Amino acid sequence: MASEYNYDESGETWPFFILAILSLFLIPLTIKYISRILSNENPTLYNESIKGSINLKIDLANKDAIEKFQNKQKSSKIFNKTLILLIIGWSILIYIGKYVTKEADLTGLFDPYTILDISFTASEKEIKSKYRKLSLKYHPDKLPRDLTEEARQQMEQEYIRVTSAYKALTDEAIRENFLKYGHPDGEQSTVHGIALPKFLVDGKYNYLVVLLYFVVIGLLLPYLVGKWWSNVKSHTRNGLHVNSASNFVRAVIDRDPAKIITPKTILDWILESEEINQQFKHLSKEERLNLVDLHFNRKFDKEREDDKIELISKLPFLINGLIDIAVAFKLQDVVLPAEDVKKCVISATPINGKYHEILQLPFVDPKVVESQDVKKLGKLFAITEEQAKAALGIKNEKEFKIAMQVASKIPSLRILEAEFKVPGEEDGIVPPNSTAHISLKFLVKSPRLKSCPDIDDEKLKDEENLEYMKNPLYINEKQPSLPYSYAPYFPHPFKLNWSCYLINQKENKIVEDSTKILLENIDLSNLEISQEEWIDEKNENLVISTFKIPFTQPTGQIGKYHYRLIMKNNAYFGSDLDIPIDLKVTAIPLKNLDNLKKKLEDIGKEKESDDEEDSDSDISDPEEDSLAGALAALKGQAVKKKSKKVEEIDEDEEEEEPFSDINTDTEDEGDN
Amino acid sequence: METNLVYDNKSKKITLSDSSNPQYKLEIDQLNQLTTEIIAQGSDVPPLPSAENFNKDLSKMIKKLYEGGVQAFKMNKFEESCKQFSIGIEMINRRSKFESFQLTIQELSLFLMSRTDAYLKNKQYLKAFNDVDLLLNMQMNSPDNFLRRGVANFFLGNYEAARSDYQRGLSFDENNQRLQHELNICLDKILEENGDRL
Repeated sequence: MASEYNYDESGETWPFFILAILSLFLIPLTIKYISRILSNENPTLYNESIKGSINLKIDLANKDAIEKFQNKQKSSKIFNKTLILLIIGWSILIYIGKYVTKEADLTGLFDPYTILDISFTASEKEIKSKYRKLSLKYHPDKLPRDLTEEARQQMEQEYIRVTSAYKALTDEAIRENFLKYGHPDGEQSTVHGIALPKFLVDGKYNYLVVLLYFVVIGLLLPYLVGKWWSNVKSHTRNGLHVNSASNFVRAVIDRDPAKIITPKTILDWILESEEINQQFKHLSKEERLNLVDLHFNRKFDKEREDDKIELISKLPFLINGLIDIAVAFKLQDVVLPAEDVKKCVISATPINGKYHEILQLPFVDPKVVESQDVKKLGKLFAITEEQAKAALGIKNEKEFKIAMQVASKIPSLRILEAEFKVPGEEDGIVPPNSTAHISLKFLVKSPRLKSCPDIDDEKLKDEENLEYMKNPLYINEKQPSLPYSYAPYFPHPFKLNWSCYLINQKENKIVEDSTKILLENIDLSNLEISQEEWIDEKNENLVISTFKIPFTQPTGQIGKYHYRLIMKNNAYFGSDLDIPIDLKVTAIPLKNLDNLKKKLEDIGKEKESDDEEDSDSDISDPEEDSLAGALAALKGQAVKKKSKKVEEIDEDEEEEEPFSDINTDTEDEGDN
Repeated sequence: METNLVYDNKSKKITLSDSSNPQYKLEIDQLNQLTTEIIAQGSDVPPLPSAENFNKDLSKMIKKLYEGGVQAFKMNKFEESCKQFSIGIEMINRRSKFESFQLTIQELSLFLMSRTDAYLKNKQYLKAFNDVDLLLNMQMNSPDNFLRRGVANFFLGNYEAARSDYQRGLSFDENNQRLQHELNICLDKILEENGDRL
């Protein structure tokens, strides 16, 4: 019997089909929606669980405007199109699941074991006895007389089933049929249902299906694909509008090389980006600049406050977009001022001047601060409280306390060790062409703490387990994540992090192929310990942090390379780090290779003894940059210098300078 | 972005018809200067720049100015020295643009280095910084130039910038005593400014 296609006449399967399709969309969407709401955690609560975080609330004049902005953001997270879609989707799903689906009819299936009610392992004897019992019950001759015609028919049917089940298990031919086709009578007709109810296909509703096909294929599909494509075309992968991105690229490439890129330049570029142009059509460039200036000076303007907050909240994202582009062009002289502008936006401090560290604190009086000498946070804790109060220009005792509390919790990084490492190599040796990473060991330090404890070298060693050998960067994730940063002037909360850039000292450019690397996990608990605990080297509570930075290139040939690591905090001034790191690539002290060489030498000696005459004479010393040369150099043997050209060029330059003895006695002339 | 350019047939110069696009002014000025010089120089194609057709008269005058500047410097007349070097730089600027650029830049960098030193001595640190910054932007990456910029930065109060200058200088010459010495002073100063100690 051939198989045939049927419409789903009784409406059995199409609800399941719709259920499957619906859940395919609904479940991922729901998970995404819920996780997005859950990610909306409360920064205050989150920070409470983290040691060294700043959890102070202050009341600002624009408190209401900021709250309004935050609530708007929150509600747009919960009440959006996704929610409507979810509600409709789930209600259809529940309706179909509950009312439309019918239990599948399994009577068509033939299973002799169920019919006879025996287990699969039953022996022939058991089958026989069971069959006998059942046939006694259903046999037409044994039925009671007072049964209705209908019941009698049913019983007879049942008898036939029982008999064929019995035969399927005992009779050879029938058994064969059962095994092959799943039925004792041989092949059955297969019915393939199409998951559309019959009333929709035949009959008066059939135009609905045609209409549906037309809407889905003719309208919806082109619309969705078109929308997706235009989105892909209009935004970069990081969500930056393509027009902004191309403007940034143009600005970065076309910049006048004789001009230094200042924070002001960066701000100009950002305020002309497409996102700002679209959202703030009603503001001219000057008005935008004025708003940003208001923010930098921590001033408020009731009428324009909403605009100001919207504008400010957009800036860091755009600056990050610019930074990504500048990093691709390896231009550190764009990246660094851009990072500074970002911080100014977040901490609401003016983009120029040297008092950022002090001005980032709450309640300070900029006029007073800029007229005195204290520029660094650390200095605030080195002078008396009265002096500090005068330096900050805060009169209110409570406000002063809060400002100092914030100051004491701004972390700085005190480097203990910074070097290139190759997992598995002893004593920090970096062999040529290996995959190295930069290993930073540092202490998180509060400006309140002075001096630095001596840390035993043993404590700086990484545990060389299997995971470390496979991927040394796993250590980064093992440390606790950073808290939300303290930025009361910035409209929405964000977590603290450091962006790291590796710069090649020779070229003064960001290293090829490297990207911005984020440091997001550090234990800040050192911020809460006392001075005594800090300098006590036996203190167990002192946390030594580790950060591993991937080095994108294989290490080059033997030699010394100079790099500079810059780590920029995303919120605080005074937390940045800028250190030189040298990469010294040395030959591997291979013991095996050494042995090999000895063997070779032994063989050589044997030969020499064979014909003594042509000894050393025509075997010259190995050249410096050959493998043999490297081995010889390791053993302290003579190596030929290949060339002296490079050095000569340097000497030429020196001669031309008449004032190599410029007097720069920095100590004598003191503080100018 | 659209701009109207006007070409003057007599003077062979290009002018911007409206002043709405100031970013093009520099490029147009440069173009006009090249045009003027190519006309003044007589032939259709300027000769290949070489050491031979380098203007020797100017070289002599420039050299004299240079010696004058050095003389003044040695006699501690720094202001006078700055002036001499400035005139020298002005003169180098006047050289025909079709002369050997390699030689011009050599002269210029020598003058800039000397003028930086004179400015430093004269305590005009901002001017000194500008000169040496230009040198470093021209990739004159000698340790001495880093020393100069570091010192300028130090006296301008940019201790962190001074530190990174010294450190970058050291990456070109690790054993430079002078740089190391200044770096130590600078590090102490940073600690002091931060109210910290070792």
